[in-house]
Amino acid sequence: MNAIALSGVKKFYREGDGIVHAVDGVDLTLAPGEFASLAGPSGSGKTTLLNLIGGLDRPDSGTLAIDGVFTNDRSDDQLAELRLQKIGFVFQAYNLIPVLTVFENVQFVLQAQGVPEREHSDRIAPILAELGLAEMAHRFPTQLSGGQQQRVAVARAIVGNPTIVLADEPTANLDSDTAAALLEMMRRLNRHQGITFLFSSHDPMVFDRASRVIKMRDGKIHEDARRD
Amino acid sequence: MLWVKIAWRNLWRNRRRTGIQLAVIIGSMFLSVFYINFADGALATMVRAGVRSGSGDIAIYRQGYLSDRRLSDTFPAAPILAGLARDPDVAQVFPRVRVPGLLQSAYGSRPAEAEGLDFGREAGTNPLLDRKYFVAGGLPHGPTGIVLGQTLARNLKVKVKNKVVWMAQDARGQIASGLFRVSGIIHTDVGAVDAGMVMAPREAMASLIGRAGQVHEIAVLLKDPQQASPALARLGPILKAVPGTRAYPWQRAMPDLASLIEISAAKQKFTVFILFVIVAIGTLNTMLMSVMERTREFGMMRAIGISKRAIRQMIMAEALVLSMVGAAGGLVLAILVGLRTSTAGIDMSGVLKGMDVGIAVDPIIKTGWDWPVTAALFAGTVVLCLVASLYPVRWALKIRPADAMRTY
Repeated sequence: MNAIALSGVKKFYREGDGIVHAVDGVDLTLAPGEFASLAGPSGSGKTTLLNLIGGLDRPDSGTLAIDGVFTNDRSDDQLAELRLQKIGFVFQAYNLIPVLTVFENVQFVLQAQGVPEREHSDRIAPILAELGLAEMAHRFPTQLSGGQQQRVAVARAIVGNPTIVLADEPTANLDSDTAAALLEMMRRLNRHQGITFLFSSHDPMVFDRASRVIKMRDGKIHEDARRD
Repeated sequence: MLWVKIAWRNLWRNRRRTGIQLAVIIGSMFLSVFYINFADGALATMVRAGVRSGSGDIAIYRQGYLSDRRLSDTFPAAPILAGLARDPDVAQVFPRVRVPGLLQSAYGSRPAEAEGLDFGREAGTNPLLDRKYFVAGGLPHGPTGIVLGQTLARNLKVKVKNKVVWMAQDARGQIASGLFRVSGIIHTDVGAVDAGMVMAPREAMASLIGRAGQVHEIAVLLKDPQQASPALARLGPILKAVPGTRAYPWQRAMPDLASLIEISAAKQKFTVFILFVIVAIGTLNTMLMSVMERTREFGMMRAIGISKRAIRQMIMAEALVLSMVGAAGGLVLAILVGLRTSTAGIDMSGVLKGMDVGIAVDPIIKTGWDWPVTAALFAGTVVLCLVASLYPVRWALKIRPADAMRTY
């Protein structure tokens, strides 16, 4: 069973009098445990495709399945539940909740999943330790650097045991050392926990580490390069 | 628990805005509770003064007297007074005679209504006989002493100890008159009392109209005014002693006062309604601003799979915390102020001076404690804030995560 399977997926946007073909007939499958990246210039459809895979947008046509579950005819709430259980998100702007500490930001997902509160510490502490955030558990996001905040975002993305992590430009706001460290850490999670990672990025550092780079142009897959 | 924590911390993201809204809720809750308690106290004071100087909690008349005020509608008091004396719930009874007529002095004459009452029985209870209203003289001690309002005394140019003549029709329609001597002059700020009231010994007035031993009214004061209905029911057998008599609650006997109380109660409700509208608009504004500022955050939450239900709970938890803290603050403030004003009272003499409410009211108003209404106001504030948060909730639930990430 594929982690991600797209067949003939199209997404159009109206812009003025015209129609923009943001994603135009994409067929794509990702096997479990892949560490892949979407590449391409701005406007090529990377983020739209990532949003479609994550169920944040709905395709105008085509079929889409996450971990064997078809998402086309799911309601908003069913999609949200699917994301909560199977997909972790990492955003370019971190998007942490500023009023919650590092620990609470990660705990937020467990709370939403309905995991009993007594299990929270046991689930969160090893992840924070793995990501080098153990000492910062009680700090608020504004007290952290960009790299640290992005690590918290990764912790939040993986704490719910997702099968897939979708990361939209995760290194865009980070300096190269921090970005490299973050990517290494994600690669480690990929190898150790078997989580499928799909990036959308402009960053050559991401492409260097990805086992598969899917290049997009004008909403279509232009090149799909695998590296063993 | 995390939702409540988030709600509490979110509220303090914009301290000024939340502070202002909290102040609005605290202020509204305080004003609502204090105003209701103050109005309760004021109305209770008015009713107390009204029933003591007027009909009592229950008034007994000959049937028809309330509507026609016929001088001949008297009845023998003694059998009913004897029956009332045996009722354990009755605190005091005031038999009275009311005689409209003309009061003459050496200078001139003025129309007035003479109230024949037992000064000894009513002193200490009837507020019109209170020492503080006497600007000259005092209560009469003999059968010919009378008390006048200050304006009436001035118009007739009479002073204490001066002689006056009371002229009226008697019960058979014949002219009757009696010589009296002014024993006291009162000033109450109530126009009808000061300019047109004469208080005279009951028996003298009853004799003057040819109805010795009879009365127009028996005002009954109960130990517990709230027990008027059962007391009224118990009066039936007592009234059988004098056929043709009937008992009425004070609201029927003094419809003007009852209307005034009803109007005041309506004003109270309207004022509280306005305060609630202010709280609702303020809460709606605060919550909507707070939600709109966090569009991206709610978009992220939807993106990571937080359900609409959880987002609704989170926003409503903010409204709940805001309203509970605000309402509790206002309530505590109202209780603290009320502890003082319910015992020491508020001196309203400056406001009441020159204001004619038709009753001689004590200007020191002691606030009441209306706990059921206070609890309703507290619950109402909380429910109102929750209702006011429904629109911000709706707004937040419409946020599409992809749009929120792209736009905000």
